[in-house]
Amino acid sequence: MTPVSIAFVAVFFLLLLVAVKPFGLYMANVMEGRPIWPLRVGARFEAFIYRLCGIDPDAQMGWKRYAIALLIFNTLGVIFVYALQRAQAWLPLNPQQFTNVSADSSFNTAVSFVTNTNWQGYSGESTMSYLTQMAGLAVQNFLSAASGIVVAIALIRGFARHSASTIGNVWTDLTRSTLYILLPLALLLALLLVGQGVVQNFSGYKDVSTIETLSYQNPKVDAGGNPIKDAAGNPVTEPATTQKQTLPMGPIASQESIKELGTNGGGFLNANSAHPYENPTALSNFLELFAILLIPMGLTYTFGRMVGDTRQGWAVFAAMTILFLPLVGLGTYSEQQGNPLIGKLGVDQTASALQPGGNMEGKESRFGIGASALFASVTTVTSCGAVNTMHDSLTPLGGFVPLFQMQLGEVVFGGVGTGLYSMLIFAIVGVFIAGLMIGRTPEYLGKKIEAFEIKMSSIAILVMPFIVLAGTAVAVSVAAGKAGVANPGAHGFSEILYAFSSAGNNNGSAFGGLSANTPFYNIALGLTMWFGRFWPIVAVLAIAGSLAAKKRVPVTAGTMLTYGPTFVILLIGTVLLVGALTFVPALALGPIVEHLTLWGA
Amino acid sequence: MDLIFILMIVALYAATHWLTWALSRLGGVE
Repeated sequence: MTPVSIAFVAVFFLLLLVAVKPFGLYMANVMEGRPIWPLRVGARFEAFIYRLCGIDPDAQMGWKRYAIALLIFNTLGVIFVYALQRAQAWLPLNPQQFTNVSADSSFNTAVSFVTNTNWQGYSGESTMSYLTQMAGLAVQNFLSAASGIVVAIALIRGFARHSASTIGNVWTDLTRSTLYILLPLALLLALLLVGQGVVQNFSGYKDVSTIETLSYQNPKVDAGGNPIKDAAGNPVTEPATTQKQTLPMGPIASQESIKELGTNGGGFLNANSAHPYENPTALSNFLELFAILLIPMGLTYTFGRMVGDTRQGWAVFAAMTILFLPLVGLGTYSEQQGNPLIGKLGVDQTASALQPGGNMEGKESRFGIGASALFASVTTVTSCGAVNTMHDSLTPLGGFVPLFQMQLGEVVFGGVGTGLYSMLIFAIVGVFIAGLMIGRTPEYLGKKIEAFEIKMSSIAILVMPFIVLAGTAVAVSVAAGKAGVANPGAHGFSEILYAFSSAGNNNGSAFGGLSANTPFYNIALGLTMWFGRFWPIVAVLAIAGSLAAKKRVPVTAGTMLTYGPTFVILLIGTVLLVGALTFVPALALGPIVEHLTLWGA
Repeated sequence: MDLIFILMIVALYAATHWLTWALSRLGGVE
């Protein structure tokens, strides 16, 4: 790692650290409905929304009602986004006159955006009308983020309440998190991004003539969009030339801001945050990185505040930080090392005042190694999935880092809401294991952890590895799954494993190299995204309901402290053991064998 | 084709609704 990379990470993390307490406190006040000035200003509009939708904001819900209301809300979202894509050719705000999206791609995209995954099998600038981008995809960026926040808040209420049969009102939670947290931040960030040069208009695309004729090799694809390969398995290409370049336009900044804040990650443009119209400068890159982690980090303080002991929130924050920073270091170090095969050809890969050195394949020169590797880490410890570098071009160990981070369950800060509630599930399992070791009934935050909570935690934790590994196994076994692989061997396996890890964890980033816009992958990944999102949510809400009904156990000399170093180590150990033991065999077949092959050559 | 995918979305909802019901039968609170 270069001193510049280290300084960049240090400044970035310190600025976030400064924001955690005030922003976490603000979110706690919003979700508890305290009369702070934004809620007083918005009270009339909020009341209007409730009247319009026939909502009684004072009605409280049990966990089942809360879960089913959230499920219905999200299912209607899937149907709406699906219908919008299937009808976009006949609807306004379609200056490029895009045709309707295919049925299987519409299904995949609808599930993808509602589940906060934002996996994109399509290319935004050549597929989606402005109406679909705004009314379908951007709206779901807000609502899926709000859905994650409300589940985390419901679980926190489970700890905070006692002898209660309810965990809140899902409609007021969704409304407040959208209205007072996501919307103002998204508006502010969109304006800052426009200031940096991110495009925001409704113009049609602009055609410009290039100075020279561009010659390139165009990959041939069959009618299904799959790459055609020769007998050796290499992609078949044909020579092509062009003198025209089409510049995409559209309401990009407004979508870009919530894409990062809501840890959604779905780019308006295919190149995502690597595209200069989404992420033009070093400062815009910094703002986007900051936005991705702001809410997940702040929620740890919100948690501590709402349970009445901020030390509990800081303990969770500490565990996340200890997991986060070494992985950032490994990713950056690996990319800075470069490719030994290129080094053997005499190419200088050392960093200097004139070059960033290391592995710059797939990276933007305006970001360099440090900001690219940090982005790859930040986007995969959270459920964001936005990319400013092509993950397929990372070194084997550099690619291992994002893959492993997703497979840990995205609990290191994680997605908005999802990261916190997933980490709290690991905390429940951790205190259970500790209870077994010392022979006491496990407790967490004054609530006894009993058989029901452990059953639900097991479901919440095991759904993801099951669907990811089973999906990968099916994809590498059937012809339709193997057809989309452009790089046979260990790297091709990594591409498929990455796709299912990304879908199952609702991340949405792609390793590239895999042609996933096929009926097989659209349906398989669509199912993976749905079950990876909502089955753990149901189990988490069941835990929230169960905990809320319990009495608070007084703290005694035998109570295990859940804010000290011992608990932090226990939590980290639980996360690593579950994540590592589940996925190491699969990782060994992909990035690890690739690393050994590369460096042993 | 659209009907098939809409039915698939409804089936995904139904499967998750069923899970909610099944988990509530395991214990905890209603």
